[in-house]
Amino acid sequence: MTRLIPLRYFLHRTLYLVAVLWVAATLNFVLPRLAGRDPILERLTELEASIGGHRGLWVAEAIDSYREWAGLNQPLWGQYVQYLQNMLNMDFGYSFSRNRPVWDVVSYALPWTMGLLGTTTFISFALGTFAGGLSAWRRQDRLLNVSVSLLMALAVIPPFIIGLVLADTLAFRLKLFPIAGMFTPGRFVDLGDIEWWLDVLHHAAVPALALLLGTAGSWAMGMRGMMVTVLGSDFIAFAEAKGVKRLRLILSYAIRNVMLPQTTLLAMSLGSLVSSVTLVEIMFGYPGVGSILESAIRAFDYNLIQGCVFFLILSIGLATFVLDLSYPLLDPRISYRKQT
Amino acid sequence: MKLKGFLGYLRRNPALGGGLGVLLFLLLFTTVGRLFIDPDHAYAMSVPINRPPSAEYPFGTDSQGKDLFAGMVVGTGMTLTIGMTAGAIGLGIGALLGFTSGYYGGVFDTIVKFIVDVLLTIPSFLLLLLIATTLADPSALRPMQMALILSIVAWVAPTRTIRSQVLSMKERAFVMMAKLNGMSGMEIILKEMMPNLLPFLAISLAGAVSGAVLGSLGLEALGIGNRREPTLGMMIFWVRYYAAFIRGMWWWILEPVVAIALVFTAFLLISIGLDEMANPRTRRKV
Amino acid sequence: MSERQNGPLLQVRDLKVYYHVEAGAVKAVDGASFNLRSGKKMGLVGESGSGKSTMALAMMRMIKEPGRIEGGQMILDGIDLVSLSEEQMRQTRLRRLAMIPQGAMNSLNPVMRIDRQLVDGMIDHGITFSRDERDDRIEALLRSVDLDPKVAKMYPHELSGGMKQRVTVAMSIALEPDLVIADEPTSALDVVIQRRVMETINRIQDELGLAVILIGHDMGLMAQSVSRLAVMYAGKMMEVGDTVDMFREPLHPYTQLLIESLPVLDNKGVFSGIPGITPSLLNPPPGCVFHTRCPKAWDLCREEIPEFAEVAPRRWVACHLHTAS
Repeated sequence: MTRLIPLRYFLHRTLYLVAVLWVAATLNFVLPRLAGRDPILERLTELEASIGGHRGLWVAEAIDSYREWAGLNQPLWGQYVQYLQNMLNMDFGYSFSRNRPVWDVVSYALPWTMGLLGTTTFISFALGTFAGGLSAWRRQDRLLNVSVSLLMALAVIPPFIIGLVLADTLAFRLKLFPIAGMFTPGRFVDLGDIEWWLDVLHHAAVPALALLLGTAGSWAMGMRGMMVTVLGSDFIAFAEAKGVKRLRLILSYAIRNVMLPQTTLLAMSLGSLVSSVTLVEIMFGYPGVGSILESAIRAFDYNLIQGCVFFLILSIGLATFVLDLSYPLLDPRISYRKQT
Repeated sequence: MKLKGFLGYLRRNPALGGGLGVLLFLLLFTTVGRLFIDPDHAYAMSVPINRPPSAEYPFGTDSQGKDLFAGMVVGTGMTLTIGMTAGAIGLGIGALLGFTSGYYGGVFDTIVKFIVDVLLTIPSFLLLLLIATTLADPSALRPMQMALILSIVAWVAPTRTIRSQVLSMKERAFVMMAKLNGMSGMEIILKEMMPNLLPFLAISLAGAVSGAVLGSLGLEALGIGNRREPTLGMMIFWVRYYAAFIRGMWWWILEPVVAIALVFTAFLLISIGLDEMANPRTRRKV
Repeated sequence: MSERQNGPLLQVRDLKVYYHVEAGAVKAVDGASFNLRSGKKMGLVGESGSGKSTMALAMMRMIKEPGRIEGGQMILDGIDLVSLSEEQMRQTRLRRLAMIPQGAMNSLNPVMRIDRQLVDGMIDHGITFSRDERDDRIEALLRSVDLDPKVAKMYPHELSGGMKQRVTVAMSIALEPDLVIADEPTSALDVVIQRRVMETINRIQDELGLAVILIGHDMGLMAQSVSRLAVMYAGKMMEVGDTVDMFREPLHPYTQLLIESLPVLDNKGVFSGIPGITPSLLNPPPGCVFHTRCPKAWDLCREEIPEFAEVAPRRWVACHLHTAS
């Protein structure tokens, strides 16, 4: 393992992961305090003032527990330490708009978001990479060029805008697909039931299509550009002069060398992909983290907003980490090259 | 004469020509378009609601009583202004950080690089969301406030691009010569490097502007931003809010979508064209 | 096959390679002819843009769009390479003729170990061997180019420029071809390494009895190691002959200028060069392509293209001075 992934490199990447998570957590802590407010306390106080009686008592209780959780009676650095401890304990406080701990809400929604994001990114990446590579290889093919250009043109439009149009045509006008939810209401989650899976796919189809159409073109574009560069390089010419078979030339020489920049592109795009999936979910009312985020914003449920954002960043951080670790396997030069 | 040469170049670089053409069209639409509209009609309760396109209202009207033609003229301009302001601020900061950290190196460079790398991993949209929701009333952000918020993340990508270009340029012979001739660091950056990096600065600007536009659209589609203003993102927000789909108001959906597509097409084509200008090697023909 | 003993190994006849661009056809090689006997070493010289590298690519049948072999023949051991199918040509490469590339720095696949790159060409030519045979073969090949067998397990970025070039030499001789085309094989290396690599190439040529076409721009350097010289200018063959003869009595004014411009010990520092610039290959001047820079040009040179003719035994030249009656 250490021979494949050099230790120094591994530690370096781990440091980045920790830094990313720390920055994300600290932002959550610092931003409201920079703005000179405590949105959660404000909201709770507002609630307390607006509703009295039995429920008012409940809100007063909530305020107390919030003070304790956030360590508001301690000095600032104490609050910060308390805050980081809470994070490490996976304790993100309480969502008052949903009357449940933030962790419960987010952990229910996260798999749906990651499922949607993971599968569409995988398909889109594979499809776009394949199409882009092929179009660089067979530049004379008309049909191929037209379809790749079309994909590239679509990639210009943000996926949630494509989603808007698809929702209107496919779901509302043609009524081919459901317009909201992750499965038909009333159904129970049953991982062993094929019909349940089909129902899930049916519900995810249009959001997935929007993401697919909105992103595949950018992979194709990147791949085509890099493939054209690699195909023009000296080592491809020399391999051809060696008389290697065409298939080997494509796979072991061209594709193998393009995969590293292409994977880097993937890693660099994860952030915008998460933004896209969040917005697409909202457009379709697909109940992943994005939709939770939207309702949290509507309800000014700041704890929940923070929780959603933190978990999305955590997922991205981990995905980036995994991709980073795969670089040395894709390119032996990586551990020697100075990181620039 | 110079203009003629420029137009001649655009013929050979169709991506740049096309991109600038689309951008010019959008700018004309938002400026000359104002001659044909009453800007007040871009706001709610100024015209009858829910009218499909007709001679009187060529783009139709929405459920709040906005004339969508006026709305598109005003709103496209507003969104472009927000994007360009944020993009310009982002490029300014990015150029400053990129040039200094790339040229001088050292601890400062290490810190800048680290911060940039970390911020690149964190989705900028989520960062914007956090910042915007922390403000007192995220639903009443003035367009310029929106631009300022967007510029908080808009500098990251330009810094990265410019820094790496400066790093590679630092080793080139003409910079070495300037150094040997006793030019100061600032002089070298401004007189020797800047002119050579102009295409990259322009690419960074195009990227930063379109990134800022994307950010504003995302935030506004969630209702974060000034709900009174007819920006493109807000239009998307209201389309969803009034469920324009269910009521079959296709024009209300289609118009902002087309405008958004044109904005992004323009900036993408411009950066492809500029890229070709910066690296003529990528040209297809021998 | 019996030709081989008497006739030439390679006959290039009136080879034409054009690049078709919007403005018209760029005639990178326009009617080049020469012969090469087996086991002999020929130098192909010319300025940059003279078409010598295009010649190399054409002989490997690796001209890419928008370029095309427009006409002519390249007969290697009785087989016209121009007429072969893609697959036949692929099989011919490495087995019959191989190439030592120009940019050794980037000619190896950066993500593959040397041993795999050494054998994949052989495997694709139907060679099968056991694990041990494979390793023995790799070791022998590396030793033959004076490399440590440990290099087999390394990646290209772990090797120096000279080592990389030796690896490409080892690859090109893996199947002991009849002909090796070396396109400025040492131009990217520093002088001391250049010399050593050239020595290795020369030694291998002797051992294997290879015919070699050495492409370069330095006529002086070339003269030290080749027995025959071909001079190209603007896509056309100017003069072909034995090195000794050419230096003793250059026939073509261009060859004369090339030889005069060589720095020699007794006129130290006086490097005259050739005045003028190379003509456009898109719209070559009428008549002889060299007349624009030729000190001896007269009316005929501006009107009529000189024929490339054998003016003495095994001595070819394209110049009206020698062919006009």
